Amino acid sequence: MTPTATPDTATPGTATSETRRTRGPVGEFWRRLRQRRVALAAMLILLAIYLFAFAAPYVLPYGPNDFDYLNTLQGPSATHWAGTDEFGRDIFARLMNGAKLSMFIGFTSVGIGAAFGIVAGLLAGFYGGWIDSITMRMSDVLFAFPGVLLAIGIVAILGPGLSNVIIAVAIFSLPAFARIVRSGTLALKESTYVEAARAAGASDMVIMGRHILPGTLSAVIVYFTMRIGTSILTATSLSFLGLGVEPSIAEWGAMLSTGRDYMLAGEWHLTVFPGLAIFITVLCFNLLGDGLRDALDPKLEQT
Amino acid sequence: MFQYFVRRLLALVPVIFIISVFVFLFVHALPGDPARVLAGENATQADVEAMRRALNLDRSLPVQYVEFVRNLVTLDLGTSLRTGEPVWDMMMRAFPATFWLSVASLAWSVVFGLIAGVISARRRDSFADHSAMVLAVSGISIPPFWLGLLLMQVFSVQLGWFGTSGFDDWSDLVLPSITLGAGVAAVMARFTRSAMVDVIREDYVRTARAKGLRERVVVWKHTLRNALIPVVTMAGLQFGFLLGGSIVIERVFRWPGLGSMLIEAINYRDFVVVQAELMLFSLEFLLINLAVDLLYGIINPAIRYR
Amino acid sequence: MAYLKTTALAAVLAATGGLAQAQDIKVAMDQVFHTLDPQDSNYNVDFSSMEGVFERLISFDEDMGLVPQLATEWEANEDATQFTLTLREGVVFHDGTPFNAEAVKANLERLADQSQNLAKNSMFNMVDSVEAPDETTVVINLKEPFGAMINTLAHPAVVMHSPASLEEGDVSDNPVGTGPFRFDEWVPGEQLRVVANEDYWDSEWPKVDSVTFYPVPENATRVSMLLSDEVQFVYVLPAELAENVESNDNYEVLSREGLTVWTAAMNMNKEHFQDPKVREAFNLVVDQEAFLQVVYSGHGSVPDSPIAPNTQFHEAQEPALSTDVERARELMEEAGYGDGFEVEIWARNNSTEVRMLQFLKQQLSQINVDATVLPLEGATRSERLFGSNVNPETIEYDLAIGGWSPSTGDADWHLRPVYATEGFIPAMYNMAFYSNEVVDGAVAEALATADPEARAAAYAKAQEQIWADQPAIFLAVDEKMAGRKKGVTGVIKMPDGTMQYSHAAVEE
Repeated sequence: MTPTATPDTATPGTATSETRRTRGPVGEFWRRLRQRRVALAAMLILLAIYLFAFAAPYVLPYGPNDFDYLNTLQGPSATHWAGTDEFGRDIFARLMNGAKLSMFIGFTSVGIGAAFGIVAGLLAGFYGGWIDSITMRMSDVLFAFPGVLLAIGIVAILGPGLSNVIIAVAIFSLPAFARIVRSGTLALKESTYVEAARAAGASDMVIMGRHILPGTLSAVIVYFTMRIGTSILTATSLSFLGLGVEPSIAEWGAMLSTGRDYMLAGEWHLTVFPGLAIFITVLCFNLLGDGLRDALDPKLEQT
Repeated sequence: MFQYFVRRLLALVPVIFIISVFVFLFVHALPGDPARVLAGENATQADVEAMRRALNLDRSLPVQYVEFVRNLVTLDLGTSLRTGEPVWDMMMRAFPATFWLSVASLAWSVVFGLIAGVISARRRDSFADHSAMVLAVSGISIPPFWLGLLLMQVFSVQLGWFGTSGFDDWSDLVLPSITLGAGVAAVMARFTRSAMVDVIREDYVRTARAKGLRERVVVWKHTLRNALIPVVTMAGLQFGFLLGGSIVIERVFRWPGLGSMLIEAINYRDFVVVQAELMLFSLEFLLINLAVDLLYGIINPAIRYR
Repeated sequence: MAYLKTTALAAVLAATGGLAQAQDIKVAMDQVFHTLDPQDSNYNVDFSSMEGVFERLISFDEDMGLVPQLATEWEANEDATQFTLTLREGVVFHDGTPFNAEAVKANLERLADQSQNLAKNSMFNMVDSVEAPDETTVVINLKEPFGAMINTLAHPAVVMHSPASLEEGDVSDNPVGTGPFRFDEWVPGEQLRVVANEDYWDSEWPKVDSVTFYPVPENATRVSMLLSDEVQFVYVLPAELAENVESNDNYEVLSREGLTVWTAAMNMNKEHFQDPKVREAFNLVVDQEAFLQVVYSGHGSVPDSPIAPNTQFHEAQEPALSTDVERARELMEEAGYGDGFEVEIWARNNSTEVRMLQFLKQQLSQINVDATVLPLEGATRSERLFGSNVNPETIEYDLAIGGWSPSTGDADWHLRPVYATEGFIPAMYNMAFYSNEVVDGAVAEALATADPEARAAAYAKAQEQIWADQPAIFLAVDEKMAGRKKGVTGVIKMPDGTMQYSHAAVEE
């Protein structure tokens, strides 16, 4: 993946074409990101976890749901790297399965929240007036509500389960995306190239989709990355309160939460491994987000 | 300034109205019947009906909403369905615990966040920067209930330095505020860093530097002062979140605050309490936002209110 | 600062030892308190916290045997419609009101008055009238025979309030009883405190100065409080943490076989569960020993009857539960379900029941039954199982996990609500919609007499029939566990899940 190989892919910043001659925006972005070694390391760790999670079923001798009542609550050993839980299930196998799931929860919930938030923010910022007032008042209301509480309410109303946890976390992320995109839109709406496009007779949809949206994307991407960490943690809190995914599913939050009663009993491996898995993943997403922000923010060019 | 304040205050009225509708609908959309829950596990249908009559829950929703609003306006928040205690008294009892926990968490995390943020911004991309940021970000990456239980096991059960839980003594604030503040500290550190980085490149900082002022004076007097505005905004927002009480951490530490009260009220579908508390949170949040806006003017007199 | 000084002083005093110090017992409980009026509660925590403040006419000993408390003697007429009690003399309420037949009459009439809307009113809807012919005699007349009356009077909710306090009105936050402790302070959600009653009728008690209760829903926190000596008693000790308490020399685990029988009721309105072969297969495929190990860390026992061994009129049934996956598969094959079917299992979302769900799901997969498990938050579960619009014909679950414990200690309050036709949810607790004439008849027959032998015979018949029909997967009889600091005596856990502390003492 050399910097020169990537600029041809569609990129958010293609509004100006002269940069392409020297170094495309993606290339520029790569150049900057590679300087941020912490972020790069975080990204590699995430990739490694994810790849290993997919390889796990072919490599590991145990599945995440292989019960073994003769070997419950075993500490880590050569056969069970992270020990077994109260059902004798191999914790390492469950962790690997949980990696896929936690990433899935993180990406889909934030993705849904971002999609709706972007649309709301664009419309609010672009049209202003009552659309803006309503959108922003609604987001005030959602903001003023404690986030975990909102998630609790949504899960209570919709019932527990993976998809409802995702919806809960998505709604919880929505207002922040709406605000970010709105403020970007407000700034870009007055810019010369938007005015030029308008003068050329471009429709509102085209202006929003082609000229404004790409300009707000860098902020969205940064926030998206950080938000994934938050959403994984929110799912964990929901599990703590007994409102998470179906309990037999190997999800990190559920593992950590059901293992906590054994923690005091000296069966530390039930919580330490899922806890570390969550910690490392969320940490990596946050560090990656920090790096992306620095790399995407033109103001931060090295001086 | 006063006019501005009044105008902002008036603008809150429609928001509060929307919130009241939202809160009411939210609470009544929750599945579960308070009469059923309060009657208890082994209750028969007859017990439940008796409970329903005793609680006056057989009225229509609009009637209940009107009463809810009337209660809000007159500041008589009604009585708890579960204990029959006036909700106002309950909230006043729980508020100090949550308030002091919020203050303690915010205090240490702002101090830590500012220092870490400034160091990072000053020595951008140095080892110190990376370490400070990784440490800070660790705070928002650890599941709070796990951190809380770990701290309790080590410092209360094993070492015996602090009480496990409850709020009987100021030292009881230590563990929960560390747990709760960890996330806030991370946010503050990152925010301070990026605000400082923005300001450092501004002209007046360059001018100050060019004038030959000592580096420390430049950093602490000129840069930080101007970077403080976004930082204060963030601290205000965080304080608003903290005052809502942390359901998870208050449960772990048996903290007698608003979060514990709320989760209990939700569990028993004590609608009156849930509604009142949600209104309080929203109001706190809105007022803190307003206060933060006003603070801008104090930090930076160049800002004029219109 | 003043606070810190006093604690430091107290620490010094405690270290030097010599002074007579106040003896306070602190107890961490798993739930918040709802009310201080046991007559208006269905929660064990409320009964437990008030056990030392109030007394009942008749109480239970540690093995759920009936013992005299405020009544010294009792007798019933032959058809169980009239009960006569002789009262203890020289007892005075905390507010100075004398305890006598009029006081008992006031309390029983309050319980029988359905317009009071008390949680326990329906338990006394068969009471016709209460008479107080003299100071120490009370006669209860019933509208219909009710053989379980004496045990009903021993229910922990049937406490004696001071008639003066009842007249004053609200007793839900100002309890006045005759017990060895008087109510001191209740801060809802935080703590509840009772202090010694110096004028208690039995001069030997109380032996401690105060008892304070703290609600601590988080298991790990509750046990941590014991292990760091912040409390001396943990009420409801999760089985998985028992070993941790026991392994420490300073603490002990109290364990009593409970009255609760855990079952997964099979919804007999669903076609597949109408076939007895399927129900038998479901019981055969589940390994109860493994269940105990996984769910209760080995604490508990395998049920040998629909009711628990400590429940009055329990009769062990044959054959004992066994596990035979091969036979279960054959039965499913014979019933035409060799390829299994899909089921939905409901339970609460606490960690214990969540373990039950996962265990059942795995066990049932051995006979190709594919289970969807649904851990429901408390209030949601109540609404979906016991809400007034619940329709037995269309309710979705196939299996519903539940534990029933008869607080009267009597077979009637287990067999009738859980297995009789009148017990169908939402009215009571029959979640299997099991309806059998023999059972219904036997339950009614046993209520029509106060003769223990006749009642035993009828209940034996009912248990036998239920055991043969297997309307539920019988899972376990749990153990009621508590953790206690060594040296504390008299604070005990009862088989019905409540706690008693009247005879609390601290050994030097």
